[in-house]
Amino acid sequence: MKAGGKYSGGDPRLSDTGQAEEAALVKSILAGNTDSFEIIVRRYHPKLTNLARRHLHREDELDDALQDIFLRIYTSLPRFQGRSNLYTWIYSIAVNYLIDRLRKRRLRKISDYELQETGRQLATDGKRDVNPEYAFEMSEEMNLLWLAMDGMDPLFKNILILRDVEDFTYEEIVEILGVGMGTVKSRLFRARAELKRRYLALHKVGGEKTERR
Amino acid sequence: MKAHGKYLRLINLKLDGKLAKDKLDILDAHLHECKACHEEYEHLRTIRGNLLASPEMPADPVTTERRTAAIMAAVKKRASSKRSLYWQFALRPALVLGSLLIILMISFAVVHENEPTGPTLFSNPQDILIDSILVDTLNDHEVAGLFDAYYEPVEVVAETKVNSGFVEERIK
Repeated sequence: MKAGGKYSGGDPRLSDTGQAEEAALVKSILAGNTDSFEIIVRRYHPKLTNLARRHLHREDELDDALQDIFLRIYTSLPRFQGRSNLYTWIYSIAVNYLIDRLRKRRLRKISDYELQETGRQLATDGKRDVNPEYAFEMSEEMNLLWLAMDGMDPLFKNILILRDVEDFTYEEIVEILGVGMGTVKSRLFRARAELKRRYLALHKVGGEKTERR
Repeated sequence: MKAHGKYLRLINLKLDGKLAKDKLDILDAHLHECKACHEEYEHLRTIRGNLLASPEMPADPVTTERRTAAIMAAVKKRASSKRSLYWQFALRPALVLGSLLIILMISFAVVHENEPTGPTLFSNPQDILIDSILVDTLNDHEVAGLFDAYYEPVEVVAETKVNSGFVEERIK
């Protein structure tokens, strides 16, 4: 993890002292002190907002999604045994929720034809309103990349976000997803290959159109 | 490119900094020779670089406050409802276990109440009394004590007179 980069809002990965403080927080919440949970909410809200935004790409779903995630965290706290870090445990709940939500949304898989159409549109309009919240600060290349990720299998999209965007280590991903190291490596390998294929398809079509003009 | 599948896997590990030195040397030598693999490596490296550079949206304080308030309201509602943590994980299991325990105790008591038992003083003192007299295990004094303990004198006399002259005689 890049120090101070990805965790500009305060790194939730804590020192031993921090972990002891979080253990005390959990104990207090379980004893019925719901106000202590607000500290958890404030600490993890920025990170989980970005995680949810990257998975869902829909600002109007964020309120519901974040509320559901924090409620899940709250109701699952009695099952937190302190064997893993609280932040990886919270991420695992959030990630599982987001994958479920993407599946339930029955996200329409973008076909190659649609990808090509989108690429043509991009070449014509110069910009596509697929990810408006990033549009003002992301380059066109990056917009293409996120567009390519949008229609991917939720599991592929998820592992790319965890590894290549959030920069979690393999070991942390194993803990968050609850799968083996081999699965993580294999899924990441396939996800990258799929993303490259989709990205190049978009890029190629956009480039051809520009050349013709 | 299919023949180079082994190298593609190594490329992924190289991107993640997970490749041992000896394998890294082998891969680098291959990338130097193989244009297709080199292109693949460059594509993946660029994509990963772009993803890593994806900006984080700064937290908007107003939205953060609004969401936190909504989340906490939902949490407090959950805590006070019947599906609260204590209800779900302490009271409800305790209630279920307690009910099961009570049912088991009642069942146990009922079964043992109806169960036929051997002769005891409390279940049928008259039979014991008669048996004891017949096998001559009690002396007269003990028999008289049993009568005093378990029979109303009037009933004893009436019952023994009607039912058993032999017993009546021995008691006297």
